[in-house]
Amino acid sequence: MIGIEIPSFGKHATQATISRWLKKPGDTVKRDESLFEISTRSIDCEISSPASGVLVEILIPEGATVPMRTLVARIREDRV
Amino acid sequence: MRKCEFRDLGRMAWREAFALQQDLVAERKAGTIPDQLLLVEHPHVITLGRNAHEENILAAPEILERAGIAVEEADRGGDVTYHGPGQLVGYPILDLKEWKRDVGAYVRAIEQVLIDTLAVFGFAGERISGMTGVWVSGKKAAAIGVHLSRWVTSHGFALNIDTDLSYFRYIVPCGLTKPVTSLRDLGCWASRAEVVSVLVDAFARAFDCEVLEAAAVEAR
Repeated sequence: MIGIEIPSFGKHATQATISRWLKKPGDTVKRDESLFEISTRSIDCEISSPASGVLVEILIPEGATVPMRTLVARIREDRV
Repeated sequence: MRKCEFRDLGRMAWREAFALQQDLVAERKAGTIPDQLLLVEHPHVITLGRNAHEENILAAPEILERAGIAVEEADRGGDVTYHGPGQLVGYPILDLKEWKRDVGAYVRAIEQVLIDTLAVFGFAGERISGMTGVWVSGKKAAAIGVHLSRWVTSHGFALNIDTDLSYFRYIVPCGLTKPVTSLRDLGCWASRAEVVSVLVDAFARAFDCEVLEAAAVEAR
């Protein structure tokens, strides 16, 4: 299982809002495919999947504002 | 060295420039064009970012309409901002996979471009912790709001050259009750062409790329 975190944008943001989930639990995802969008004071950004597999669980819903580095989802990786 | 095509679109409506950005983002994702830097000046427009609070538009719709100010929704970070004549708006469309896969570094580099540009005209632009944009003596000289999709950037920055600052009274810029300024307000009479030339050089340095003028795009 891989945990998906909100990345750090350095000093530019201490927190981010999940503006939209582009996948739902149970969906298959490919590596580098966009999973969700986050929004900070100056940055609006799609976050892509670090691996191919299945999105098992979403921990933080749309609209929630959380600190950077927060764990927001889990992906079960495809066995290669 | 990486190449970046630069086009000065002159005056173009926000919506038209947004459509052009979207086309170029799609082409950049497909790898059919190199990095792009669009420079443009918009007619009066208020744009709302993803985190926009409508209460940060201070005037009623009919007042804005009478003043000739359009209102548009933008898929960038940030709150409410104003664009208008005398403002140099820049939209870099870069594939960060070919530079640094680092969103924070990207925004820092944009800030550096603006700080270096202001420095050439004798002003000490600075970052203020926890706030976006570039500031001179506590006043905001340039705003930043970016969008990233699969590491390709869009939207960007707006630097006030000789913007009529009274138009900012219609909004709370970026949700902050801080004053705005412009090169003219700071006592500098540099022309748009001079600022463009300096900014393009600063951009090439900050992103370590060669900036080449693209074939002229028909601008209105």
